[in-house]
Amino acid sequence: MKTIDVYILTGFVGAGKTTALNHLLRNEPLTAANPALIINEFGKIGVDGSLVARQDLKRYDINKGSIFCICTKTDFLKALTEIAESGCHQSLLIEATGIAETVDIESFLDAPKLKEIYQIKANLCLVDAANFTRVAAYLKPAKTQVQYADALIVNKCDLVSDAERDTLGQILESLNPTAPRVQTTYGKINTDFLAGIRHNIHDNKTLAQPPEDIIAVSISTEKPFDRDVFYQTLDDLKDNLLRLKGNINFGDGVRFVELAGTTISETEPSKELTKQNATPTAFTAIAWKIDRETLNNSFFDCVS
Amino acid sequence: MYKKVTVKRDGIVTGKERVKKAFHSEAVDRVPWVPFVGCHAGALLGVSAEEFLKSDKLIVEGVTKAIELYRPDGIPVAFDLQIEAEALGCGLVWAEENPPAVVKHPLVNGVSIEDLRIPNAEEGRIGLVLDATRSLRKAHPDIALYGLITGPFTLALHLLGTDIFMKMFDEVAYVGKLLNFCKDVCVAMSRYYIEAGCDVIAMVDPMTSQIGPDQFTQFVTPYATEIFESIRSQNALSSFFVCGHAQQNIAVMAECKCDNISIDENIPLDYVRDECEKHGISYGGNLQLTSVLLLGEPIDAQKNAIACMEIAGDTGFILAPGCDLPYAVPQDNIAAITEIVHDEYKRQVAAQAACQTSDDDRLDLNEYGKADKMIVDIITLDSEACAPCQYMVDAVKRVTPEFEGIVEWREHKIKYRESLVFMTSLMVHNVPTICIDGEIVFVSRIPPKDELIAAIQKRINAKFRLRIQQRKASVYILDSGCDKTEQIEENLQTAISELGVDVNIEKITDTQTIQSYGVAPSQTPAVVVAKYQVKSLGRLPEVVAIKEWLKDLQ
Repeated sequence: MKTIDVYILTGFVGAGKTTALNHLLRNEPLTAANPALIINEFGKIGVDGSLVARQDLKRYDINKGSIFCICTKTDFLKALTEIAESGCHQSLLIEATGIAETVDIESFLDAPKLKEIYQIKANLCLVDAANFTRVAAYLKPAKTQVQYADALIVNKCDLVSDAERDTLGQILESLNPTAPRVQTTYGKINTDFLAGIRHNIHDNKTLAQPPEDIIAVSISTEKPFDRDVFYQTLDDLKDNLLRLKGNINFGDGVRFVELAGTTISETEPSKELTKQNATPTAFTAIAWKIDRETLNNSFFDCVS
Repeated sequence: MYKKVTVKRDGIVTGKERVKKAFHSEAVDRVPWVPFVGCHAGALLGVSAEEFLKSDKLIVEGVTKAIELYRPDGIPVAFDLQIEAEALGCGLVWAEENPPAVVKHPLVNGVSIEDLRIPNAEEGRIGLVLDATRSLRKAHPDIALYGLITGPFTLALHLLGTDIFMKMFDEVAYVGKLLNFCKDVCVAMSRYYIEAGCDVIAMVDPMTSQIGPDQFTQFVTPYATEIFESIRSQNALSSFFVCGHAQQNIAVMAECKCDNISIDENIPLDYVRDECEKHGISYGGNLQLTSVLLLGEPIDAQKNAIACMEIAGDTGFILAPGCDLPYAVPQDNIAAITEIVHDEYKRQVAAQAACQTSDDDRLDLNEYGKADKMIVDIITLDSEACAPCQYMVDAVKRVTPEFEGIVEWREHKIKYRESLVFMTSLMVHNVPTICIDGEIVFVSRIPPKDELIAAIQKRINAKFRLRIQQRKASVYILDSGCDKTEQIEENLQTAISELGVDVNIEKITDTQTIQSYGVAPSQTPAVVVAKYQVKSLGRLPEVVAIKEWLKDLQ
């Protein structure tokens, strides 16, 4: 029986999956291999679908979102079986939702009878350079999608500074040291790069050391902060802190502080935000290579 | 004043009581069985998921049908996590074989949290689901009714979409406010369900599998704890349902003070058992939805159920699928689980059959049954311990003397490994079973005497016919150079042709071979007749079969 080559695209909303999908569809090797599409985008049926460049292709929308991850399996298996039985596709492109676990999708393709037909060529994860660290602290699949990818495509690099791009590179390296990385804008994926990707089976994947976790802490206190100590802390933690955002009461009034990449800004807080907060100081920080307790303590040490 | 007294028949435990006891980790007579029949009940009625979930009449009919078929101890009224979302203005897309999906999130389409109001008991489909609850309550007072509510985190995702993962950093207070609203919806929904007659409120929050324990503690724990507290204050039971890769959160879920945690196949049951026991709460799960219940055979479903029950043990466990049963799940697979839940004996049989015997262990029994005697094998669990097995053995025992030594019987108790191998080799799937000469004849049914005699006689006749067809013979003339030999051969030829039989004549002159017949060369000429029977062709006969042939030669 003829096998069907499978390309999987993962990545959080906004990482540029649909653009990348369209790019792949218009280029070799997919353009000649009559691809079938499986689109599994959470809560966006018909919206993303209409953006797909080639409307002539056979498309399956897995519409349960991955809200019931296991129930999605039934729909996935049904679509995979239909595609295999139709016998007219040489390739399959799967656009996964940003909240799907890569291991689940790979396990669907590994089901009895299907595994002889489907052959994963590449599992590509699109990474949004501007937002990855923001989401990764909260959404588990944002990290696991990177960990289980065969190649990482870092998109929207034009929106971040060189320093931020370097840090992101280190984070991705820590999460997945074996996957080749390519930087891109507008989701363009080079055909040669695609041809060079080897699919890794992740059954017993062992990393030399566990990846550095990305953590988030929310600080909320009535007590005012000492501005000098706070800025000194930010400097001390410059290798750890990825983002910080929120209101801080420095004794002389509440300020809105934001750290993104290497830029720190301090402005007048919005009335709306201040009203919603339960305490004058209420901010969130995202960091890595540091444990939660140490990070928490560093901030509480800023209380004057 | 009259005091109302409920009189209970002795020893009869209702499903509701059984579920309640399990929730409180008290001893039960058997494991409670709660199949999560959702839109599958639509399939039972032959209607689409959409028709089903939009009609109180169909929900009542479908759930009633499921109760008849699957004899559960508890059952959900409606398994649809979009009911609250729909009432709150989320856009839905309906499907034939699935619950609807949310495709439009109001909070990213111009609606603010302040605009949202807690739905009343009539809004959207809430009213029809509550009507269905009341009808089912009345019709089935002894079954534990589960009212399913969408958990606060999942409801927040319905309202806001995946933007919530960005806002968890950008606008913590906003997310807190949204979750607080969702919590209020949960509290209201559980009150509606309890007032309509539900015994258990299952808070289903699958999206929490997407976050880690730190975020769970920050964004779920305070709200979930309050919801469970409110359910407890109304004397109802609570269960926290999660599906997906949520192992990291089981410990923090257990700390939310729910009575029970229910999980799917993505989390090992023994892990959940240990965590829940540590926290003094009960748990349930985790039959495999797709690979076993939807795509497997009844025996696979039974094996899976037994594996769950073996891990879970006797107390504090509810046997259930990991999530909403697929629409098209075969009835036989679910009914097969019902059988072993209700019938301890059937469970033992299935448990024995589930013991893995590899193909290498399997005996080739094609040669079985070619002995002269008739062999009756009875495959049992153990005739001393199980009544049907005993009756079947007795039936055979009574009949065999009538055949005066031609029929031999044996019992194979599958609690022993070699018997299990024998059973699988004969392709026997049910116990007790009677095989005659290796052929399955009576399955799970004690045959009346006449029927059993007829079956054995039929086999004797068939064997006899075969014997005649297969008979072959040779005549050997042992000759060490004597002049009578030629005359002997001539006489034999005459006899053979006059009788018209198929017999070879062979002359043997080799001294050693002559001696091997027990004849000294001085005693020649001698005539030896030999009769052959073909027992095996083109295959390797098993020792067990060869032994039977050899017994005939004695």
